[in-house]
Amino acid sequence: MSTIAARAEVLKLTRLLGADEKDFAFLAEHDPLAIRALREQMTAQLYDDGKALLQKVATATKLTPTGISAVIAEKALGPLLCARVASLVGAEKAIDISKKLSAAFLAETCLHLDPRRTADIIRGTPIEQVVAVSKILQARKEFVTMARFVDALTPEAIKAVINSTPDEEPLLRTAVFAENPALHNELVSYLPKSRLKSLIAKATVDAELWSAALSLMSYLNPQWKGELGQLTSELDDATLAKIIGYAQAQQLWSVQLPVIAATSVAGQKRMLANAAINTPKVLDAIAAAGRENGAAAALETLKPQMPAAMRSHLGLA
Amino acid sequence: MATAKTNVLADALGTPLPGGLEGLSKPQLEKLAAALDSAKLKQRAALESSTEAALSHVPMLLRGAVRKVLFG
Repeated sequence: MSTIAARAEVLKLTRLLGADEKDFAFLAEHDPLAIRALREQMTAQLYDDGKALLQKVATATKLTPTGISAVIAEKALGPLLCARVASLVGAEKAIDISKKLSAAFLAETCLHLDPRRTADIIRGTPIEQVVAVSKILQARKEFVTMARFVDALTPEAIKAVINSTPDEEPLLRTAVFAENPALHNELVSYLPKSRLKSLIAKATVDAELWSAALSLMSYLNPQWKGELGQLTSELDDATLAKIIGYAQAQQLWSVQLPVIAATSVAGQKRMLANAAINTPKVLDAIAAAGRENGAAAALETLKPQMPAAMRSHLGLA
Repeated sequence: MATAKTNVLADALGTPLPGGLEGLSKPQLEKLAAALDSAKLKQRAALESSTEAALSHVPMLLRGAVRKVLFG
């Protein structure tokens, strides 16, 4: 699971540096939290560098009428410098200026903005503008950028973005990169059951998306984990076999097993009865996950629902 | 040896590297330090060129005051 998180962190870091992600792929082998901490150190450096001049630009901005500041922002400063100056201008002035900026320019600025330094501005941005910017970022597949803002947006703004996004795939791709996993329960709670069902169905389309869905589910509390696990167990047998294939190919059993264990007894039985999970190779991988990756508790929960042959293969008989 | 290896990036950052990055090789650390340096240079260049350009959009009446704030 750390691979997705690490790749996302590398992307965020290279975006900050204006560098090519491929040149720093070696970083993805490291702990995502360490990469994030490095990015935060680099962000601080870039914000401090040239701070004297940035502060002067901010002071000059305060002297200039809002409409003219907006023109200067788009025509002279550009998105990178606007992102750097935003936190120095003061939230009220920055929000007034941003109301006069085009959604396209704001979307570009979002790529460079540090939401932690500009949370007041982000929270004060009109919801319709947040939605317009999110549509542009979605069209550009800037899910990592969108995820950086989840923590700073108000629940109302997040709900508005969700409601304006008919497809669940961009929501899943964004949620998986959200920096504060504690928010995952909240994000899931904003979706009605029909959309959660659709989200699970979309996630089964390919291995990468399923891995993203599992990453999301791994952070959920037992109630939501059970809810999404249950929706998964209600998929048809062929789709369940596909999911089992993804979990096996990507060695995701340490995450997949607790999700199965969080579902109803009937849901557990259905998943465990699928022919694809009852092959020696898959069972060996499940046994290894139980031994090495802390999935033992999940196996213990699942034990009564296992076919006898599975219990025997896993040494749980 | 880990300290010697991490110096180039830690020096550029002015702070010790976060834990968990001990495995980075010297060339990798140098690459990261160079990228940070390059980002700073790009940012400075953009800032200097755009502040002058910004003045042309400021109304004549305000231009003197804004110039004074920006350039002293």
